[in-house]
Amino acid sequence: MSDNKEKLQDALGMLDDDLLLEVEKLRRAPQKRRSFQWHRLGAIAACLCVLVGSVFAGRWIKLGSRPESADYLTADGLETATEGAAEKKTENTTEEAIEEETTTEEAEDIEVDNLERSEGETSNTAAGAALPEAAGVTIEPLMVDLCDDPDVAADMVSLFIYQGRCYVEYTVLEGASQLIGERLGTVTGLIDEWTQEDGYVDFAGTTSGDIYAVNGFDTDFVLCQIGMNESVVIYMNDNDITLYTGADLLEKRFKIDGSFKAKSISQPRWTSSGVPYPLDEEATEQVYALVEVMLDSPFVYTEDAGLHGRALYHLFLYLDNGMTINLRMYNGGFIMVDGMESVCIQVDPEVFSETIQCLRAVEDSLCGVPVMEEK
Amino acid sequence: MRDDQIIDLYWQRSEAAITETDQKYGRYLTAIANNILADEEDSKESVNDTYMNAWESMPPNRPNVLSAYLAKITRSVSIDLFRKKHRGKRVPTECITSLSELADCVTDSRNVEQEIDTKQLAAVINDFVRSLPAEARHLFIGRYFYMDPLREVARYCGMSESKAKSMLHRLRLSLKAHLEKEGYRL
Repeated sequence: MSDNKEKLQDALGMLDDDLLLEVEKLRRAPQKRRSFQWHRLGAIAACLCVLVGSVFAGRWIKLGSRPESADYLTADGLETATEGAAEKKTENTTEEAIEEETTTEEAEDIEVDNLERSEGETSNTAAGAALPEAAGVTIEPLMVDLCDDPDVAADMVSLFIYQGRCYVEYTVLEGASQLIGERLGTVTGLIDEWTQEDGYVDFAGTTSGDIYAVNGFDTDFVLCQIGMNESVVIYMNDNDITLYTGADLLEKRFKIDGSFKAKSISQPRWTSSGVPYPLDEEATEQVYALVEVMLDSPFVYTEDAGLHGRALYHLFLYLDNGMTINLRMYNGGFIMVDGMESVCIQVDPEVFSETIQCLRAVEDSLCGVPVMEEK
Repeated sequence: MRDDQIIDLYWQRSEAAITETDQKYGRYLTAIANNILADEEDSKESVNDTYMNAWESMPPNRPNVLSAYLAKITRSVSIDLFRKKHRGKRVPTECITSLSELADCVTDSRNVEQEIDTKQLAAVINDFVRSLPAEARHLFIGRYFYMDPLREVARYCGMSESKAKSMLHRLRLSLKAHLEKEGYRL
């Protein structure tokens, strides 16, 4: 095999001169900016109340995000959400005005990029025009809003407060002890569903025990606890952040570096305690393509996406850095990252559809029984 | 000095050809050699060998694109030198890294003897590269001809490292499929 690799390497040294000249010019040229870089510069918050994940049957606590469905809202909560939406529209307009000049310039870059893609990657073209601009989504800082009914109790998700941010349990990783970083303190476990807003102070939480930084990741994004059998329980902060494209989350926060293993499982099998399946080469390649598209695709509010029904597939990306990205894929080309239910990434429906087909093929081949499609 | 004038100097057997080449392309060629060899002295040696090779090959050759002509010589000389000095060793250079990446394009076929004509293989690869969109083409050539570090290729191609890495992975798989379609099971 080694000889063949070297023969290939030698043959690559015989590329035509005009091809080399193209790249030679590029190598000498000043740095080309990434087409969506401008989005990172002007993070003016658009207000919208989004639910972090704590759902209560009686006392409603909103942790800086908006509710998953109107069924969970108190009258107060509904009012807040509506006001938030109105503010979002107003502030978006201001942001657009401030960044008008940059936007125009960079839009040309995007246009060029899209043109280049359309020349060679037909899979991205068909529905590409329907994708929205990456206007950005903002998940508000922590807010606590209690229901008036004192007689109803409910379970809370595992969370704690650190440096004013709310970290909610995201996933449990086995064999990832290398991720456990510096010990930051001990959370008390003193939050329950009756805790008032002033009880949401640093190191309060619904869980208790030591918390640690996660090696290789920013502490304002994820922290961890040591779980059962030396597992690592990852907690994610999704409050007070603005996301424009998938790169803001996958690349900047999860540090995805283009190399990962993937597994998937359809929602029906997942809910019946199924185990995700490793993907074959073709499906893996397709997932790589999907992730590539996700990096440049816009975030939208889940509420605006009009998602209905359950996820089609759960997709798990096991990164070389030890972290896992848990994705849920919804009809219409929407992909949600677990722990951030209020927002999702909207990708080219064609790439999305091709990925679903690949995942379905893998599952069918492994299970022998086709998965029923979600109506 | 213009390239055609430098080439004329070679054809006139003027030693100024070497001086002018070094002045115009010395840094460019050293960078290519250094990507492969990761050693300053070896890179200097490789660039000097490039000049010698250019001196011996012009005439009869009269290259259309002098920079590409010299780059190919430097690349070839540097790879030869690298293999001679580091055969079987895992020396951390872009030469080794890109070589290991190329494993994606190769099937482990040590039991299948196949005489491969490098020139024919190069023609097939040229066809493949020409079929790529500009962005992918630049990325591929930057990484596998110039052996620029991933970060550097991503920078001048205007994309993130992760996107570059992901795209290169797909390109290698595509190349493998293309080679197999053309009858090459490497």
